[in-house]
Amino acid sequence: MSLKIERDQRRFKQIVRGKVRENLKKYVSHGEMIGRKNKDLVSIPLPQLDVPRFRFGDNGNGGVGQGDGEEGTPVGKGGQQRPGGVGEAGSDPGDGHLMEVDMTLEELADILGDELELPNIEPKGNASITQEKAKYNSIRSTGPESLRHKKRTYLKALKRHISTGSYEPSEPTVTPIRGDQQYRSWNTIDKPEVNAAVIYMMDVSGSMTDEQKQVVRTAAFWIDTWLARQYGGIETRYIIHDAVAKEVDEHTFYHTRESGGTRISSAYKVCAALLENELPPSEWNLYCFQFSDGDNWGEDNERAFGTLKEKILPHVNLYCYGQVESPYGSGEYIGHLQGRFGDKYDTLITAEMEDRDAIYDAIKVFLGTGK
Amino acid sequence: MSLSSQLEKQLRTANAGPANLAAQEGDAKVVCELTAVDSLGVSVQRLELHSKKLEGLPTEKLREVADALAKKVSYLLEAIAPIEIDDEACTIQMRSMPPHRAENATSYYEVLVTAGTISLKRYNKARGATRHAEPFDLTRQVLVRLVDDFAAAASSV
Repeated sequence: MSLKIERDQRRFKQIVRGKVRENLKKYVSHGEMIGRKNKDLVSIPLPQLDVPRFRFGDNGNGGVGQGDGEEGTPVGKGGQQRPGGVGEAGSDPGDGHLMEVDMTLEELADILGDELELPNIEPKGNASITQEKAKYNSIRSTGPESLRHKKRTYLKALKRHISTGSYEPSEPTVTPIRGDQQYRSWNTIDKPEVNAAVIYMMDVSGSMTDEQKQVVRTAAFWIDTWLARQYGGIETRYIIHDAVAKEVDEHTFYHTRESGGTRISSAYKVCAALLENELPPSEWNLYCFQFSDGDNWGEDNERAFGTLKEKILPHVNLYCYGQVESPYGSGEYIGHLQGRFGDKYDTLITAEMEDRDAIYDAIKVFLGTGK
Repeated sequence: MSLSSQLEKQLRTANAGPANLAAQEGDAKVVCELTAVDSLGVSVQRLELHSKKLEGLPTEKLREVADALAKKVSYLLEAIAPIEIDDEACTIQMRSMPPHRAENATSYYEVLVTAGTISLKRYNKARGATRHAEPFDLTRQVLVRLVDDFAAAASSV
């Protein structure tokens, strides 16, 4: 029978999950938790959970009078506001304060999957990558003390005592000597793994504002969370571009602003080179997410479509294009993209993201294919 | 006669309907496509200044032209500023900063400074539709001043 505290803890977790689920759309839209993320956990600001408690009534209207007064003076009603207006602000926290609860990224991904009804991903092909893993499945006579196998050490010492005739059943003292010591040891085994890589491409040209980049950042957080849950770890690469593209680290990806023109083909070129040289499609489940305001310089579209068709679309599990609306209205790239490829490729998914509220639906569209 | 004086003269004789005006002075030529002309102002579809002084300039120099324009042209509906610089096409894209946002559409000026031309149009972009150039109204004095400022910016490098 479980202890009461465990039952309470389970109940608390259920309540927290319920609250997160209730407010998921808000969390997805506003990205409040991104700054609170560490390796495995994310702190989620929750509205104060209501704890049931007694509320005292006024116990009827009457009461015993105290203090000065003449005989016959009516007794004042308790709980009435004192004359002189409203009192000063209190120093205690009010109801609007938030509490933070830690939740694992896996739990968060599960909630996201449940709420958006996301299908589990079916990795393409077989697991063709092998990774070396240490498995503690053998015993050695030397090793660090922290790995000493006490039971086996005792058994060996016991055997030695019995075989040498020094064991006394009436006084069963067994003292291991150095030669009795047994230690746990490992073997390196090759474990087949399904590898997944996500390549983010973002337009950082002059027309992309900080607000648009925040939309991208929030969407990327949720995409990462879901894919990492599905694959148990993913490789993430970042490409930024204006008229020229380059691969960068995560921080640079979200904090760079350039003033160059928008040439989406430059990002595709870098992405295609990555697929060719570092992430061969035969060994990886590949996901490309591209975000831009869609204001591509006219003549670049053809070049971009050529690279996309030849070198990206046939090789990836998913190519998702999210068009984030700029102050000048949404660009026209998404229309050209749909016009050119239409339904020819089931790996091509597009979504328009007018503002933060559109992230929720965009994620559903991107990840709803189960690829 | 300066470009603006030639344009003023043509405007005085223009009829009320659409008109295409053009004027040349030295190595600069201005083309103005008007959808309407009346006694107070004009409705402009496109304004272009072609200048030999701009030809072959690198993007850094074109950026100086764009900066000069951004400083001078402060009398339109919205201020204009450089947004994107495309080295490959050798073009500076300037737009209204910020654009005008109506309930379901956004409109803004777009000035392209290329190696040879400065052009001005106004675009309207309704949600879910492609953007299209739309005529914008200027008084005759503002049109003339704009042409002067384009010419001055082109000559500034």
